[in-house]
Amino acid sequence: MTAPTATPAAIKALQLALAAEHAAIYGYSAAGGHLTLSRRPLAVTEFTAHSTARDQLAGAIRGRGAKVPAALAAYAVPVLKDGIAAATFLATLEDATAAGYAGVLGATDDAALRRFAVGGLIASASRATTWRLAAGATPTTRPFPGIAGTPT
Amino acid sequence: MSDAGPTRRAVLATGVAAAAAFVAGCASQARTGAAAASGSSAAPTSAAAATSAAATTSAAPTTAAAAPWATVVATSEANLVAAYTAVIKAHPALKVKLTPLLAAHKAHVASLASSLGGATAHAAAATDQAISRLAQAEQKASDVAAKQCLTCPTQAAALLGSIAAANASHIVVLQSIGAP
Repeated sequence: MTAPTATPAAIKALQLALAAEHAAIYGYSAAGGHLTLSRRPLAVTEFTAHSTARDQLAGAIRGRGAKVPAALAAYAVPVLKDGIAAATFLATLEDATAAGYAGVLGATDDAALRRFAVGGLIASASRATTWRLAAGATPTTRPFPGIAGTPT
Repeated sequence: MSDAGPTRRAVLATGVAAAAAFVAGCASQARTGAAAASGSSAAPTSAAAATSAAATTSAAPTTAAAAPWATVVATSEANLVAAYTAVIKAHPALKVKLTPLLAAHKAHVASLASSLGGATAHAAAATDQAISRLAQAEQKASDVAAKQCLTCPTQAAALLGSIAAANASHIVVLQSIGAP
């Protein structure tokens, strides 16, 4: 992180990305127990990755003198009747964090921030595909992860 | 492709005219869903288009200059289109799983609307080797897009990052084919 300053748009994007990470961390905690046993170690690994990303985002926001949004007490979690439902839900959390990082990319020229955000976007998209494969969902990939629709 | 110098960029830029028809073809295929519905008939067409585009690249006059970040990423994406097309043609059993990935790369190329270089696509004889090579190409293309994402204009950063992420997610799919 070079210059610890950022435009209001960049700060807002970082805060939204952090909000998505907060929700993902809560969601992994809530859904993890519903996964099949064989999938749980992966969920633990990814929970840890999201926790690390949350801390990095909070540090980036704090380092730029802005307010770090706290996690909510609870987030909406659908009824998860089995491992497939849990995996499907985790994929949606990853789609959301991907969107958060894409938002950061579109809001800053800071190469260090972009490097962090593109890493988060890549990781989120890969994990989303992992969970969609686990859930047997199709399609397993998005043409443009983090971006709604096809950009022109 | 660790670093594309001005010379390489200049060479690639001359392919803009030849690429235009290919890009348009990709875009129309992707939007009509033809790739998903009739992959076998679409594949030879785009392979031929890629070949002719590559063949005319050296002779094409320089036209509007493409942005370097677009040229570099479009080239690696176009190479992936050709690579997937060749593998699907050679391994019909993989068509169902690979066609969505092929469609994504066509959409990536269309979204950049830029030039492409020569497509040296040939499918390995063995299925697992073909898949492995696609995964390597995806990783390379993801790295290219991610690198360009760091320095491109703000309005393109999310697009290039998304392309890098899509490519990375394709590796997950390819690995799942190897280990059912």
